[in-house]
Amino acid sequence: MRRINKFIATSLLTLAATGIFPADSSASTPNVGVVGAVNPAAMAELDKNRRVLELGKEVIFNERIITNADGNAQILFIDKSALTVGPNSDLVIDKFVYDPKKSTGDLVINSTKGAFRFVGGALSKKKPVIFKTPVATIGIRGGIAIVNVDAQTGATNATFVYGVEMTMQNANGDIQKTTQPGFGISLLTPTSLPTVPVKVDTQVLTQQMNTLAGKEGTSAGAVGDVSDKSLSDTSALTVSEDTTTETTDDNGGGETAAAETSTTTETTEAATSEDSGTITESTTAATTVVDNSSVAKSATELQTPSTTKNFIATKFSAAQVAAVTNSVVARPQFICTDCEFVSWGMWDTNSNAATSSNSIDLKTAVPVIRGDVTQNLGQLARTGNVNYTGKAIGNIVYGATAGMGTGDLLATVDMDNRLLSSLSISNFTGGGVSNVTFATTGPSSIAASGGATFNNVFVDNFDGTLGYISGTVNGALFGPNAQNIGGTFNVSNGSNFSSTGVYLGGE
Amino acid sequence: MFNEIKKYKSDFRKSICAFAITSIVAFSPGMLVAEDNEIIKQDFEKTFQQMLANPADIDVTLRYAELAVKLEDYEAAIPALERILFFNPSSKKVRLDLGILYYNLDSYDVAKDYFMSVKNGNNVPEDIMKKADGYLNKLKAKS
Repeated sequence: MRRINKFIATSLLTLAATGIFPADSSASTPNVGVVGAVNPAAMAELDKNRRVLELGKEVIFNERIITNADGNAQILFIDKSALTVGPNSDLVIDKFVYDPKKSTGDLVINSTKGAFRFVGGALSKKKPVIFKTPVATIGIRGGIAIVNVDAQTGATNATFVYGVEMTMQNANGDIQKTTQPGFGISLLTPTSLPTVPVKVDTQVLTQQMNTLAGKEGTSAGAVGDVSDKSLSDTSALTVSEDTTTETTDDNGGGETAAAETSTTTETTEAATSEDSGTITESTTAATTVVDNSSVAKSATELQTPSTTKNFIATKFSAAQVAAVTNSVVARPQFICTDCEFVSWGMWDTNSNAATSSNSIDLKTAVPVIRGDVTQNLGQLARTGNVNYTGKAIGNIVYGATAGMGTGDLLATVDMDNRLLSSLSISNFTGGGVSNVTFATTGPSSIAASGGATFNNVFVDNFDGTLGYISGTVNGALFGPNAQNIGGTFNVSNGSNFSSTGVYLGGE
Repeated sequence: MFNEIKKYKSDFRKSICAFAITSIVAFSPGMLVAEDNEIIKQDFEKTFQQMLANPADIDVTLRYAELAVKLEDYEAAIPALERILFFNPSSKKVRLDLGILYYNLDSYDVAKDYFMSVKNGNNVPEDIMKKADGYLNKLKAKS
């Protein structure tokens, strides 16, 4: 405590010396920064006294910042950190101690709801800045992160954008960590396990960015001419030509192109050889890639849909492979009889894989699906609830055991509101586990225009043997009239069980 | 000293944000030495204090971002430009600059999001669009 007081005192002295302190500040209400930008309505509350946040005004230690549905703000801290606060957010600067001479101290932010982007300054370069939510404690070290806190449940998602590392910890001290930009960790309740880091879907990231951006027609409290021309003229912040000399093509770069450079091979063998560089591999966790390039259709079970849309379940991460002692396993078989527009198969990413017609090598083989993604669901003449039944198949690591598992799919889509009402995978058995079940926790929207996709939908369940399981599913409806459903899943119990695979089903 | 010069040659080659013509003239890469770096740091700190005192001053904010880029402190430049985007959400130029900053931090997903927002914008100047397209193609090549 004495050390903290010393820091505070140091900060106060420095602030006074540099003239940052507002004239009416006292030693008991230290300034931690200023309001760098604000759109109404955003409020600040200290000792139950509320004030409207104004551009340039100081932010006080222990002050509560509240935004409504139209409000957003950016707080600029004196250590050069910045916190963007999105609409419908609520936070308190719980702790701010900064010694500018040593660039050390602490920053703790406590939030009950909302969307935030934290960009680290001096403090986070020395030790993690802490972001507390009703269910999670997030540590952001040397970097940038986006945090979303559900207003009702406090369930928290955090996306690591850049930096040294981001951690997420529950109330029991269970912790997950990522060092990979673009990966996210989620936590549903204070005692559930943080999910393994998964790559955040592009659409989800765009949604997060849009939530935190200023809205067209607003000016965040700025006065005077802030037109694009004015900015350009005063700053000349333009880019140099030598950074953009790559060749161009017609694809626009708008899609992940993990498999676009590979050649594809069609075969009736269940474990075909493929280019090994075409599937995203994470060093921390299995990931899911949604891709629109061609993949090999490979299993005898495969139908022949005429499409370019595919969902690919990624192979095991290096860490997962390292954890297992066996990797060549018997190839599971199943046929989804009602899946006319979507099919599955095995894709072996190692052309030298020692596999046979009856076995696969989990180090290199991945289950994949391909099919005709339904287009413009909002324009289809489909109404009411539609139930889909089918199968799931996935790679499993359970302790030192690796294997393939299969299970049953049941999904319901509310066509009137274009919602994935529910999706469950049950009786998932193989690789040392049996009758595992996991399911969505609530409805999720399905894209009404373009491909009828849904992304990063949270699934969980408490299993008697494995404990709490959580993860995400991605997917789409398939067929011209949304007759099929399919996608990828990625679940773990945060310790000794993880699985990634695909599911598909028909009406 | 050699490393300092090499570092700034690299910085110049990357040129994530070119500066005002006067800055470029005064900021020839071969001229950058440790003493210059110290001067830039002092200017950077001074500008930060000015920005804290008056965050609505866009010129000061841009100056701060410019100095941060010179110091390769892209993490400092990003919130400054994102704040300017708060002031002017429709600015495609600032979105392009932010995309390049994130690109240089290897945060490719966020970079792509900014480049796509340029690409999908209305009435985007041709040169801005061309640069955004160029970076999107670079990202595609990396994936």
